[in-house]
Amino acid sequence: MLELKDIDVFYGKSQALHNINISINEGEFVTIIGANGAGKTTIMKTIIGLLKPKNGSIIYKGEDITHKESWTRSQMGIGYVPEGRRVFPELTVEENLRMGCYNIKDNAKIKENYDLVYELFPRLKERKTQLAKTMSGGEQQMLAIGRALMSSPKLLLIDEISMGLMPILINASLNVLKQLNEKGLTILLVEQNAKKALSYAERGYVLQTGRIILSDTTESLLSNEQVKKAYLGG
Amino acid sequence: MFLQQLVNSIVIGSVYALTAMGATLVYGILRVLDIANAGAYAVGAYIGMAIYALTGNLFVSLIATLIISGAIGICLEKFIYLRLLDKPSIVPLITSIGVFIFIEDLLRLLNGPYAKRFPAKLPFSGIQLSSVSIPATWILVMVVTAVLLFILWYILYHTRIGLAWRATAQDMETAKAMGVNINLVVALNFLLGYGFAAVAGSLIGIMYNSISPTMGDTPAYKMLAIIVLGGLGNPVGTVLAALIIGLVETFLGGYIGFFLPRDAIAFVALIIMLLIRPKGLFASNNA
Repeated sequence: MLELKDIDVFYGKSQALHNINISINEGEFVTIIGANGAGKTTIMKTIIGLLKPKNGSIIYKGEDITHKESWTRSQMGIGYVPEGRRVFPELTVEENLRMGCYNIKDNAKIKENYDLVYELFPRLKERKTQLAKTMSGGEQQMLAIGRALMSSPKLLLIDEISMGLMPILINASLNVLKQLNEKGLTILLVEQNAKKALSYAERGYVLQTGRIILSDTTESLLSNEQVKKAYLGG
Repeated sequence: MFLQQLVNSIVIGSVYALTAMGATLVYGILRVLDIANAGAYAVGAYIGMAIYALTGNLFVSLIATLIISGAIGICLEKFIYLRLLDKPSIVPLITSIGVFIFIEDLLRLLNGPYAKRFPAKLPFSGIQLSSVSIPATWILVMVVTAVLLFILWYILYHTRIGLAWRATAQDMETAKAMGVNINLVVALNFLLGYGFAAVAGSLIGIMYNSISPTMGDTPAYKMLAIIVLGGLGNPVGTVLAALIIGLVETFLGGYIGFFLPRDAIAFVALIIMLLIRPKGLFASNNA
């Protein structure tokens, strides 16, 4: 479904990603783990088109999207939950969700997606007229995920679901992702919290200073000595 | 006397609001202080006069002024500002001052340095209510401003593209990733921003029956005071700030105008406000 081929990304003169190759099949739940600054957010921004790779190509559903604008990628069915949630602070919950389905013109479909998101996160329905900035971190995380789901994505990119959340909320959020994945949504999650990510996803990549150093099923990664040592605390 | 002064200040405030709205919209999205917007004010006065002389129809000339100047705004955006966005913000600022000077001198070259008349015949007459007299041109200014600001408010708060405008002003990158075609939002921004300033220039030209290449000078400075007072990039704050400056100028100008020129009052207000509330009277948190 998604394929990154030999991707190099630079910030000015410094190279952030080296020769990244990733492929995700339809229906999979894949994770990329790595330390702070390894380049996880850079990969996500490159996939959604906020950063342009210097070399390499990105193939989505058989089409080369390397030179397409972000908004086109979003229209093609790529949903995005940015790092730090990035909800629109001065918009209400409902307006934030409306932004998520910006390019859907069919009102019945929009209504259906509102219902779907409100069913998943009843809390958002209670707070729909509230400004996003007045909500707690956990609620904002729900809103960011809900906003991404409003576009009926085929592929969902999530940049750090655990950041700033209490452990109980991390599990709840990951359970939601698992649920969505079981209904057929393809998910790519990048995560600093390797233990959590590896126990929910099916397949994983390990990113270290801009390079993929390992890729395997999450089961094998969890028992891999190198991974254990570097990312699972021994 | 009080009522007369009040009407005066609303008229002045309306023109200020319309003039400053362009710079507010541009700042809201691009975080660039666009001095050249006041160039559109003078350009608008000349375009308005030319089209009025051609058609004799005030309504047509105002609409055409808005559209033509808006189109000029879009050209400036595409060929200049969009190319400077990754530079430090001082670069687009200085560029916009350069564009402003260029526009003024171009007008001087084309039309000569002297003031020209803009004698418009209004299809209605003024109102005289006991002690308050409202000339027809003032009514024109207030009505046109009210209509344009209403249209802007409607677009921003009740349409899909308006929602996209607000989202983009808060977080451009995320708006892009949510599927907003930023190019369209920015183009609309310049269309309305330059269009509104141009209409304001036309209205002032009609009101004083006089236009000149440098007529945008004072508005350029004052526009800065107003958009800062209004909380930088906040359209509603800009309207309130413009009305406040209009009120303060008119009333204070009446009493202390003999030693402090009227045009200085906006800046005294700006300095006092920056000392007390540096983010502006109506700052939103994300501005």
